[in-house]
Amino acid sequence: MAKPIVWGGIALALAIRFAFAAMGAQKQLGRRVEIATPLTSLMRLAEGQWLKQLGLSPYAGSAYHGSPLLLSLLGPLTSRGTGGQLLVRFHSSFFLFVVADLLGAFLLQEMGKMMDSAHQYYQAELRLDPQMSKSGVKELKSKSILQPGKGTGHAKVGLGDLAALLYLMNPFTIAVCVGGATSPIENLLVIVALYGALKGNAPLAAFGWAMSTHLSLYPAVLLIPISFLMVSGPDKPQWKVFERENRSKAHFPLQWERYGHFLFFSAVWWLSIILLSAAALGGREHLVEMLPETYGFILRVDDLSPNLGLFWYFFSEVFTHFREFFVMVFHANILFVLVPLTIRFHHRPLFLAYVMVAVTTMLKSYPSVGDAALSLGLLALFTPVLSDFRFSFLVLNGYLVVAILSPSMHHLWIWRGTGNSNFYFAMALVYACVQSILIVESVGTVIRHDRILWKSSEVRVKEESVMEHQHVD
Amino acid sequence: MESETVEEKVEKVVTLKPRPLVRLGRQLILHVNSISFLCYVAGVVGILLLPFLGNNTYISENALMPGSAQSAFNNFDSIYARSSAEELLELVSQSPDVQRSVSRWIIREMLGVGADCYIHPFSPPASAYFSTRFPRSSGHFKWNTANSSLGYDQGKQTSSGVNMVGIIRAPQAEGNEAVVLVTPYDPDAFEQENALTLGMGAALFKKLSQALWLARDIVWLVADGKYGAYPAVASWLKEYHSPSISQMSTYEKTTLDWLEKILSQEDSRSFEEEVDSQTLGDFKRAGTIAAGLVYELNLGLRQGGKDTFTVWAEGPNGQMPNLDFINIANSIAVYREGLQLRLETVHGIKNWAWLRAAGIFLEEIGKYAKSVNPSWNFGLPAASYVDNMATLFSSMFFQVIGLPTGAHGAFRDYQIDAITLQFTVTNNGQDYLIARIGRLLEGVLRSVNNLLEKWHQSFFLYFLSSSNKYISVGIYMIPFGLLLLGLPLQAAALCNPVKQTTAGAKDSTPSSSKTSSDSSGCWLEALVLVGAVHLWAFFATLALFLVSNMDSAAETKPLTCFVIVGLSLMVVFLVQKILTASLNDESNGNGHNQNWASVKALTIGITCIDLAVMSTVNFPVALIGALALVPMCIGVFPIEYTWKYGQSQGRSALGIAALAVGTLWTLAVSPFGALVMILSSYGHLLDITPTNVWNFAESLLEWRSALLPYLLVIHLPCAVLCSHILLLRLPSQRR
Repeated sequence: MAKPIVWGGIALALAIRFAFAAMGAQKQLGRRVEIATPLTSLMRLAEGQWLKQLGLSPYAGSAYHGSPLLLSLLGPLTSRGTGGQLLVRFHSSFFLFVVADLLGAFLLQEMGKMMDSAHQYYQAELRLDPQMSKSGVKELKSKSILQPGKGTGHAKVGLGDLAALLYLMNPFTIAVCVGGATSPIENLLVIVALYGALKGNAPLAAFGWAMSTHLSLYPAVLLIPISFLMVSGPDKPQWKVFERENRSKAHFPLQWERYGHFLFFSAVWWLSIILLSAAALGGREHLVEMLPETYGFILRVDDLSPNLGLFWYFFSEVFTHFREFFVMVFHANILFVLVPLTIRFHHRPLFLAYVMVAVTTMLKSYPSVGDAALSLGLLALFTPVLSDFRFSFLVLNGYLVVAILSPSMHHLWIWRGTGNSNFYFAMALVYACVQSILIVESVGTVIRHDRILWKSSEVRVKEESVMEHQHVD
Repeated sequence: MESETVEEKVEKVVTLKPRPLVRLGRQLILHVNSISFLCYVAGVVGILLLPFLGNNTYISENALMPGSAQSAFNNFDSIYARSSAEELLELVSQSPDVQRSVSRWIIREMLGVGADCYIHPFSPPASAYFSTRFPRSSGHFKWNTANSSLGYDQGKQTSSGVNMVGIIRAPQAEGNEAVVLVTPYDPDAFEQENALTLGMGAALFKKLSQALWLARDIVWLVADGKYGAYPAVASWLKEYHSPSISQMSTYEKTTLDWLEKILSQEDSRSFEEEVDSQTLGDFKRAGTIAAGLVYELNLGLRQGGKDTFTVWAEGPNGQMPNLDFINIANSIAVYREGLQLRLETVHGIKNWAWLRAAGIFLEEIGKYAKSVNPSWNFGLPAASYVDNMATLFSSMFFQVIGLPTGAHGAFRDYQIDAITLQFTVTNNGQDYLIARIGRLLEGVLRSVNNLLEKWHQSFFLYFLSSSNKYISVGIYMIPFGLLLLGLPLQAAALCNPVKQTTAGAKDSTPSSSKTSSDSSGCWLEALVLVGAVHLWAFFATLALFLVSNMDSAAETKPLTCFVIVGLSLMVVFLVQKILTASLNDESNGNGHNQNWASVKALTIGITCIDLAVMSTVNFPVALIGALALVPMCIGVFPIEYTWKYGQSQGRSALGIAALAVGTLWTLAVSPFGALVMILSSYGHLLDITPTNVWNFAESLLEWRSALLPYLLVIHLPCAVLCSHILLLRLPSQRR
């Protein structure tokens, strides 16, 4: 556990965050449209806090659109610094974000360990373990199924450590953490939900899911992967593979009771969230105001200031009387992909959760690079199944292009005045393209992986029957 | 035997039939070398063909209506301008303090036409490099003598400058928009040119104050060019847009000092009675500035029997004003006033032999094409081709340096379009010419006055190849794209190498399976190496910045910086070695060799992205970068590889030549090679010493030129990585 490279990586990630904060990067980064969206901007949150202190509704004047609970948590921190000449630069909520990042990385590490052991368990079940060097299996191993802990590159780094390190060292995570957007907290809650579901801890999973849905709405689609995780456990090969190997269904029981707990706790958490929100807003009648200002704001796409998403450009052009229709179409995109993906990946619920997170990152109304940080962090958990991934170089360069060129295009449009909105939207399109390549290719790779497992079990069963025949003879 | 058939079966089942797109990609990767070579050549040819691809300029914004109204500036006004100039010269010759008498005269003129008038004192630029003279009439950009050409001494640095500003309020407007007319003059070298420029300004200002058509306020800024016109205009614009609250009191104090100096009684004429010193100190504004027009009158000879004027438009980092602005100046000058617009060219380009040869060659091709089909009429005479190319290259040259070519550059920082018009006036026949110049300036101001919205119609990203031909972004990006196209293809080819034949695939199966198990490790190592070198490059930039801020002797600075950069490079390679060793200590301890292909692929990828980004910041820098770096990135191979290829059976003369060219190019473009080349070819022209190079670098830093980030953040790491690839050893699996 106590591997020096992991601790070194964590220390380096922390040092980078503090170095940037000490250099005063918060002011620069907090204004970037790629980092702070109307929903996650700390500046807007401070405005909401100010209004609240004046005794007004925090939603007055269309500045703040986040949750009242988040306002109660972060609001007091925004109004004053921690004092001291240098420390003024450390926004006091910055420490909270660093802690959120660390916690998220820790949970990812734990999830990685669980995924690792589950992976090894199922490989042993299917007799894919390294000791059995049957011919067909050998072929398969050289093809794709990389044994964790045996690869040359990360000889010392386990799956969980890799995921945690990638999450912490990701420039997007660092930028969002330093820049002062509330995304680290939202990301942490999504990770909490998935961790709880993977662990089988119904109250925790319900808390993460309810809270993250309350904060940013889109994690609502995670209900389905979380349900599958609660009922049938972590990712495993397809059921038909086990069937061929003559495993009975009783071997993998469905845990409906746990799911019942999850539903119950979800209800409890939702109720308490609503009551707490009402309390934070100072009366139940304010809830009616909160709903259109938070969820309504997300769904109606009122703020058309440029960001990395696909909504603002389209809805600044569309005719007003078609607006509602297209808003529905755009949001329905996320739900459209949910059903087929669930049918295809019900045996890999965590991967399904990753795909849904990545799809919402691409299709949400106010995306920031913080969402990409979450989806890329989750991606690292599937290293064993994704070892056959093909376009990693392209995707890496694509993210680099977006990270460097989009501020440049924004500058050209807004500050120099020599470009126009098309320049920046082109970057948003490139970003969407890179993400869709990543999603499509990772989905394709997992399907390929499953197919290889299926074919190999076919080969092995035949081989065994031949051997049995020889034995009989 | 049994096991093999099973393996094959699995493979057959698992591998899918490639789709057409995949097959196309395969073909591309198979022929990647010839394709990228062709792309590069096509890019170079495309650059040479740019003059043919230019379109005729046109005025895109209808609201401008240039020349549609009769200009009111007539010969009486030109006589007024000339007599004012004479009066000024007389005043100056009588008075010991030039600035005082000129300022008094200007204030009297401004108040005389009923304009709001005030003075704007400004402190001299903080750094000597800030007031680098622009590569103007001399034609040569003498960067190596940046300090001496200034005439800049310590005594002068203490005295602040003062701008005179007059505002004519438009009679029928709300006063929320303005046009700025800038007249720079140099109080330390006040001669006939300066007097004429000021006289012209006074006459024009008087005429404009009578105009009924004004829809925008006219601001006349008489810029004190003691330190060059740019710092004066820049500090006025800064005060106009973002006055510093903390320095309010010092500003007021210097204003009072200046007022006292200007208004003090020493002769019989009581100036104090005429003006209200209170209002002279207030900084007044006139709303959003729509455009800026800088003009200068120089004494000189007519060129080619025509009255000409020069347009300067390049702002900081090659930002250009809206093309319509230049177009209205051009169209009014040509169609109404019979003046010829000229674009300055760097001296010497027109004499380049290869350019002339290319011009003659292209002319012949044009003639031949016309003889084949008379409707193909794209030929251009060799002389005008050379002219166009010289104009194009000069504009690119000014943009590469990244410094604005005049005071108009200061406007660009506030998204205001501005140009400088530089007129040449002969000594005889002045009145007639001055009347024409006055009408031209009035016409341009009136056109800008007609503007209804912010400039948005025409191009911002363009090059002018002659006064009436432009090359828009859509055209000049094509050769650049062709130059870059080889890079992603090469990177793709290095990432997933395609075997020549299926038999070859069979042969290489054992080795490829070995590399694939190794591959994630070597990719990680390459990533660490490339990342470390780029971090180092950022550090080098930071070091330059820090050292230039240090308080030490100018002679030691370059050495300090060089030592820091060199040492940090060594540290980077050391750290990278240690990290690499810790990453794969157990897998193979016997001297793991880095895979050069992955290093090269990553270098190519990041260079391609960097150049693409640079093309949005400063296009000519990116173009030159692409010309230099693309062959290096594509052609670099480890020397051992080249050696082995030369020895191997399947070698070809073409392959050996390509490898040799790649190696030589890498050596030439690397920092030391470039230094040697510059010294050997231009050493006699330029005075290259560490101090001069350092001064140049510091002035680039001061001007925030994109050339410096290009050299340090893009070129340097790329060259270092390519040199590293040259020296890499091949994995010794073949033996």
